[in-house]
Amino acid sequence: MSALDPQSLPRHAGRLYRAAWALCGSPEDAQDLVQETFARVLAKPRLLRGQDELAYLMRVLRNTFLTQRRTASRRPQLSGATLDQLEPVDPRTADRPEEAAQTREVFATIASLSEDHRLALVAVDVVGLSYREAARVLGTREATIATRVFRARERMARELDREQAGEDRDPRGSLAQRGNP
Amino acid sequence: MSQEHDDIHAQMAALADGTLPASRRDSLLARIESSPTLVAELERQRDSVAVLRSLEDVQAPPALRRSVQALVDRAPARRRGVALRWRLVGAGALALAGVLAFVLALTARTTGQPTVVQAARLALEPATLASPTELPGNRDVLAGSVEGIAYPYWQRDFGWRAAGARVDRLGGRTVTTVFYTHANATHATPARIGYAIVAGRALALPGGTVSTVHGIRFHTLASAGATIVTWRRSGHTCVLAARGVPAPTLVRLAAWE
Repeated sequence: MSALDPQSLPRHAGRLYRAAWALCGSPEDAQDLVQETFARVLAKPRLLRGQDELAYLMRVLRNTFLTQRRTASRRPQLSGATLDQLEPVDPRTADRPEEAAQTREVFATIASLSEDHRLALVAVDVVGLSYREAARVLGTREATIATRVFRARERMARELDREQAGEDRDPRGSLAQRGNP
Repeated sequence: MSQEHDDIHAQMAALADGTLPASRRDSLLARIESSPTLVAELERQRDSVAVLRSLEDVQAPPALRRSVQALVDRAPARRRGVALRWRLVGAGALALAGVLAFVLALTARTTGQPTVVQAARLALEPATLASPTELPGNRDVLAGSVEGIAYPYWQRDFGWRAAGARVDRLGGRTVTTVFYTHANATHATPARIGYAIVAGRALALPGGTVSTVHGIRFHTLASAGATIVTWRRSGHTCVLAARGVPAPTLVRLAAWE
């Protein structure tokens, strides 16, 4: 059992941000979620009980996400997005709108998956946990995680192909080509 | 979907991202090559992995990095024994808490105000109503709430299933209790938790042993052979009461969000 070292946590900010964006489907909500996650983790000294700090952070991120979503569901919903919400915030793609659009589309597709599939995909493919670590974080069997990841990727590929086909038919489309492995 | 398909799909997921052990690779590839459907599925797995790996270039915005660093700079210093607070929620502490609870119950009786201990006793009574149903597509809360405070869905994460409810009046307040039983409970060793929510303003806190989780203070005490955990949710008093369920388990359930 070892103590979590706060000074080592900022290096995970990018990975958690991508995971949060994939869970929320919105880069703005992702920033809030990551900030709240770090605030919770850093509120007091923590012990890591047989898991590495990335798995620990993923567990807190998931719990914070579920809490925020539950709280939000009890509040009156605002309709429409503000201009601020539509601003691109990814510094990598802020001056490359096509790439930014593709990134947003991928995150939005992940966010549209069912909760179980989304969490499994995010834990394994976005955060980079092993299937075993993801199973521990998400409280299920390793085989179940692998099956969920398979189905999530399958659904994601089909959705992106469908959107690609739609863009190809629409001359105004701007979806960038995706590479093969 | 058959178990065989699930097994193949689980292995294909690992094959596509390169984590399948080499010893299983050849036999799986032979199986895939015998089926055009599996070949197409593997292709889609690889497409998705490639797309997901391309996301690694997305970095956290500078403002977020600054705020994370600020949180780190303000974080309490590392120290040993952080789990001690949890371990204090034990039998010795409960004995002292029980005395406090008894005194507080007596005090409240003289003033006519309902107390947490009185609410907890209702949560130990038998169920008289059916439990709230599960919400389709929502594994966090049940389809039952008191003034906007929903009862949690614990079955998936903890194995505690909603099994009955009751509604009582206590000092002019409505106390609604949902009961949970554990999947491993038997007639010989029944395990049941009452989750009571008191309508209206929060009741006075009873003292007891206090543990803080996610910034919320959970008070643990003992009364009449039962363990009681109480805390506040959105200005309302919530109470877990059970016999034969360890206090740390109750605190963990109470703190689950």
